[in-house]
Amino acid sequence: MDQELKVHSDVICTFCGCLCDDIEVEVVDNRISKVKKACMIGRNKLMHAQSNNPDITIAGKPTSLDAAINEAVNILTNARFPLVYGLSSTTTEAQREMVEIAEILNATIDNPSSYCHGPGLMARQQVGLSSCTLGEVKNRADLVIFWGCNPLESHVRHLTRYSVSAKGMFHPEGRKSRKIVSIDIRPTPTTKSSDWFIQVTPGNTFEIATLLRALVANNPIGKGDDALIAGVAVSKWRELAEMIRGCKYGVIFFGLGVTQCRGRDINVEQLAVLVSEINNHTRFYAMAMRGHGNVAGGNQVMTWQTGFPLAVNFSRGYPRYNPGEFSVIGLLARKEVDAALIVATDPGAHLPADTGDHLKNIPVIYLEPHNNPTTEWATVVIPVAQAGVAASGTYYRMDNVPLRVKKIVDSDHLSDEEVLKRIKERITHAQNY
Amino acid sequence: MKSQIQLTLKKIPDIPVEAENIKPENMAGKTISEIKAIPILVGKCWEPAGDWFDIGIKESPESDSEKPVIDLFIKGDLTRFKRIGEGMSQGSMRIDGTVGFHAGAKMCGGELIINGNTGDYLGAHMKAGLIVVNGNAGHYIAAAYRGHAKGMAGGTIIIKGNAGQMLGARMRRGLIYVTGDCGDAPGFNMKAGTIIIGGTPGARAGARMVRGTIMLLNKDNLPELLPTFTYNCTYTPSFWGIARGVLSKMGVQSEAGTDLLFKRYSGDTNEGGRGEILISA
Repeated sequence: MDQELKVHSDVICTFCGCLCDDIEVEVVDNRISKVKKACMIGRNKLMHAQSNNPDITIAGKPTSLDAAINEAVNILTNARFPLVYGLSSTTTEAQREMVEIAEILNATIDNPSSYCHGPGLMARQQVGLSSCTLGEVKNRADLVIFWGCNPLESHVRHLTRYSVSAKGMFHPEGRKSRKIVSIDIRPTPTTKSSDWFIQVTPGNTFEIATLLRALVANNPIGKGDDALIAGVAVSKWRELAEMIRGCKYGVIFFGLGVTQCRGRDINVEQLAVLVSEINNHTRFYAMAMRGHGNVAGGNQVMTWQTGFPLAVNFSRGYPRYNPGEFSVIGLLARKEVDAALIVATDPGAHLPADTGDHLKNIPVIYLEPHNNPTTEWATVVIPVAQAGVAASGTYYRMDNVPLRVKKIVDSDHLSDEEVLKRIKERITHAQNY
Repeated sequence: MKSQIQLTLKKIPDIPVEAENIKPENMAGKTISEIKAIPILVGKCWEPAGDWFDIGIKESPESDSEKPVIDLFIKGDLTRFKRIGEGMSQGSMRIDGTVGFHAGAKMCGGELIINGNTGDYLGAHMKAGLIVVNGNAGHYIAAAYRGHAKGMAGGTIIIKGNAGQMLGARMRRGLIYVTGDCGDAPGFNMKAGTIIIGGTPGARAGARMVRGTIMLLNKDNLPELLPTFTYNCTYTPSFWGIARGVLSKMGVQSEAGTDLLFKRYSGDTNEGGRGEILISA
């Protein structure tokens, strides 16, 4: 019997914030059989997208979708301080439903950015950030600084598609016409492929950004050229400042080494002010190396719906924002929430063990396409069609450019958006909203 | 005669409670049943305070001493109670126990005494009044809320234990005294005001400070200052004696004498260099 072969071109890989949109996927009889052009991580994600799917369960026992949704609604409407959490690996359409559910429930809503790039968002609110698109970087950047990130292992095709060896309008020679600098605490594949690797001591991002601000602006400093800042002589930082001032178009890509080391949001705040001040001399931008496929979209949706990108509370019927008070780690560490709706993230694997343990003591509703540590203990598990594979929708790339992800195979399950819509409708009915 | 109101916590809630309505001016002149009906936000539902507190009122004679008569006593583990005394403008309140986030935030008068530890954002955006903590305080004391440029705009906060990170961050005016240690970045981006730290501060004292004064009374184990602070001179600032006297009246006795020498560093040069850090010489 002939097998039906379909070839999908320009498929978007939803693994990381790069959202590579040139992937080719072959589908035979509704099964993904071959993936071309993707990095190893993206290929594995697509090849395994249709396996290891969980059953619909309540307290570990198989049930129907209708019963699972009813149980979810029952748990959420009876909770006195519920948490809606996730958003990072699903479509903006599903994220929009989650925000609406949080509002109807007077719940707290947060996404994983609160423990990855959230500090950068807080800094952006405080001082702004001069940023650009990856297309601009590809076409114009002659100085690229990777600070606290290792894209060769985390965003594998970033260097070839956008930042280092990509051939752009004003850089037809690609790699040869760009200077690449890495600032990191240890050698990595990215630092090895850089022109200049500055190895720094851990936890000193703020001091480095402070010194660079002073050197770029020629402000007085209380240290001599031989003094060490983050383990590197001031004279070396002066060289970097000169390189920054001398470039035509520079960009800093910053990772969790900046946002999650000692100082967090004030690191990014100082870095953002640095970039702003460099623009007194030349064109310069900064961009966060966003991790999960649509974590940037989660911040976009929450911002346009609530006014804030993360850690939003609706207890009083209107949105309030305060990372630390309303972010997932703080809420769970203080054992404040009494039920949780979790979509498109894996708290069992991502959160600190003692923090995540509180989720095991409260009823948790979990929407997820694959078996993972959280499906093992979640109270209600509802499998869903994976976004970008079996469900279409909008994703935001790390530079906040929205892209439409395709549905390339059919699934037995509903999408996140469809399940969330059903939950929302029944909550609305139950609460006579 | 003066009324004293006593609130005793009946049970510790398992979810957060927001109790900005618990402050002296909301209680004064009310009967027990009226106080019981004061709403507090338990999780996402408003509930009467009487569900959570035993309430008593007793009359006491007017005191002739300079110390004001306490208007409101609260007793219990209030760790999950946020916003107690928020916006308080008059009277006095004493809390015997640990208290949660935002205690005394936006306070514009009166006196708040906490005999226990506090959560984050104590006295945030405070405009006037006095807060005394006989215990340790959390992070962002007297700081600005996210997105705001200016935090504490006046008043005094005295912490007799340790304080957390970002002490007095973005403060605009006022006095903060910490007897013990504090976390990173005290006085971050402060616009003006005075922070005095008796113990050891964390790293990055005065980072991005525009103006204002940070005094470090303990010269031992100090972390290195940021490179954007430059040494000026060693001297005894004339205001030190005045500040010491004011603190003494508030019950804070500093071991340092009025002739204590300080090394003066000015910074943050990235922000104009008009702030100062004074380190005990």
